[in-house]
Amino acid sequence: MTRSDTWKVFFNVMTKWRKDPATLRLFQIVEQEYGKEWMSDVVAPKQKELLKELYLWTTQSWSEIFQEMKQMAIKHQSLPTTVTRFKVDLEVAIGDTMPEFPMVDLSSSKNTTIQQLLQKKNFGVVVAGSLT
Amino acid sequence: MNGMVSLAEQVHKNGGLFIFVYIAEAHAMDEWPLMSQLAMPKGQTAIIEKQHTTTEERCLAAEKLRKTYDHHLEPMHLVVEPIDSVFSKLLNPWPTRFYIMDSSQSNEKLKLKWTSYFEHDASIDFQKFSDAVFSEF
Repeated sequence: MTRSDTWKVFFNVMTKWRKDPATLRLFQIVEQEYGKEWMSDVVAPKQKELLKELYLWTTQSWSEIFQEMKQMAIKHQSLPTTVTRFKVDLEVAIGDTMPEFPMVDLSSSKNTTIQQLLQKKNFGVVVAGSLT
Repeated sequence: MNGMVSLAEQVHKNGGLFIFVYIAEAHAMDEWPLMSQLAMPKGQTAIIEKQHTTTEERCLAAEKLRKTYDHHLEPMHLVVEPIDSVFSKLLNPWPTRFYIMDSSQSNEKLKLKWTSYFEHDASIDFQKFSDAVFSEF
């Protein structure tokens, strides 16, 4: 088995673990006790443990192996949809004029735009998010 | 949520509008589940089974948000982003992001004034955002 094949095994095991109901329960416990550290306190240790178990992580530093993990993820793993959505930079700049942003007004179920909602207002604070 | 409600009330008093845009689910069960309790009322877990593929499905999820928070959302205007709209394409809001829009010059020319996103520790500095709102207007 090549190193590349071993990385495939790593991603398959991690994905299966990540979606396991027991793991999700663990995330909930960590959230309650630590607030927001489920990623660093639960996922990273699991990654480290599995990397060592598969002999992918031997003498390298964590940053080196993490870099390789990211490269292998792009090469071998069809990235989760969520990862592809996560983009830090905007496609527009601060100060740019915005195009029309169509929305559905939940109170009336009618189409509207951010611009229409802000008519006769000096400014708008817009928070984007979801229930989960 | 309490901080957001308070900010929404202050925005309203200062002549602005606080808009909550319901976008793609952050942790749908079929994509990247978390079953988060962080921002939920005590004892409740945020669960959406499937990522929305239609605007109608997203509206149903937004209704669930409204029912969950009930009167807390009153100072906010809740809207739903249609699937694959220009809002997400340009402003990359997922999983959550805050923006300040300036509409004081012209309603036709809405300008982006400020945005906040995750800090290095995956949290959002809400105080920094709140301060930015009232330093701008």
